[in-house]
Amino acid sequence: MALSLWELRSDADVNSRWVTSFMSSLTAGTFSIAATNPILVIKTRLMSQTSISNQTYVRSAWQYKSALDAARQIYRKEGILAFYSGLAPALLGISHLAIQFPLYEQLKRRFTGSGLGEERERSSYNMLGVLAAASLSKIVASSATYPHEVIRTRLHMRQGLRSTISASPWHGGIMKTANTVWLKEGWRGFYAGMATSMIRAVPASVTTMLVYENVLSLLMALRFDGENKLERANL
Amino acid sequence: MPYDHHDTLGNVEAASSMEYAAAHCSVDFIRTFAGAISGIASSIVTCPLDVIKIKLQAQGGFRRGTTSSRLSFTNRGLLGVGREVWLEKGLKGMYQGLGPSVLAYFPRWAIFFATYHRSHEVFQIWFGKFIHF
Repeated sequence: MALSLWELRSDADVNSRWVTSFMSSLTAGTFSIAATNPILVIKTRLMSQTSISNQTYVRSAWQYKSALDAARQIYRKEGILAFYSGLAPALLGISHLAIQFPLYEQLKRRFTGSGLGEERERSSYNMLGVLAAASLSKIVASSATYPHEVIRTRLHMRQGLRSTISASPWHGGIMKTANTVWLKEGWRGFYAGMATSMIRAVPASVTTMLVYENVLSLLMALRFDGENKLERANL
Repeated sequence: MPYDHHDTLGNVEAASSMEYAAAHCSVDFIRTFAGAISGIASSIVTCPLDVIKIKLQAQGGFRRGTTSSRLSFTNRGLLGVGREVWLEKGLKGMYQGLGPSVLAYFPRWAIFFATYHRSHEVFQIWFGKFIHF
């Protein structure tokens, strides 16, 4: 009886952990993506512009000299809303984080015994746990939401929405892009470059989590020691 | 420093300047800072692959299909595009857009982790109440 109650209790714990980390990653994802989307639009434009001398591609419609130049030109030619083209798919990308982080929390807890930002002891075994949890959670989340990324990149690449597309970017932008990809390239279009994306996404996730966990625990330990020493010194 | 003379008494260990600084940072600031560092680190690691990935995805959009048979093959893949970028622009090409990339990812992860922990603390209390009896 006591055992079954304990099991129920621990199940409830696990459930509440899933719900808690799911809701937290939704919240954090919304804030962080909404705040940084304009920068991402500029980044994508800069990276996908083709140089004048390139023979393989048709020249891209834009030629920016720097990030600042890009920001100025986009603002002047396309208006403030252009910085939020592709925001809706970016918000869909929040679902990516909402898959990745609850999974990461669960996996890391299983491998090392503690959740995100917690550390029981510093050991290479725990670092291996972080590495495994970060890669596995990223692989699952990426394969679930990869089509979003394709659509988002295509949306960012459209320039001069007002002149080329009759519908506003807020209505039909995503559906129209998805439809075009579907008609021109079929389902393969939605998974174009997925292997490449994984080769990039998994090391990115591993780096982010390893660096974050280590820097955080290092600074928290410093803070803890510092507070103790200052407290004792002030007695 | 207010704690220096305690140290000369021999029984209280002085906090190092790092510890002193850390003790005066809020937990939120430390999370934001660690998030920013992780964002910078990951964009440096992945910038070359980012460049290649975006060029691969953009292939469908910009390719000049019919004018030259030599250049019209569709799928040059990861290494093909990588070699092309390397030959055309070298290391600078591989790190094209690193500035904007760092600028995009360091605030993103800084905001993400700080908000994540904060809302985690709030939701833990809420859902702890609902799901436990």
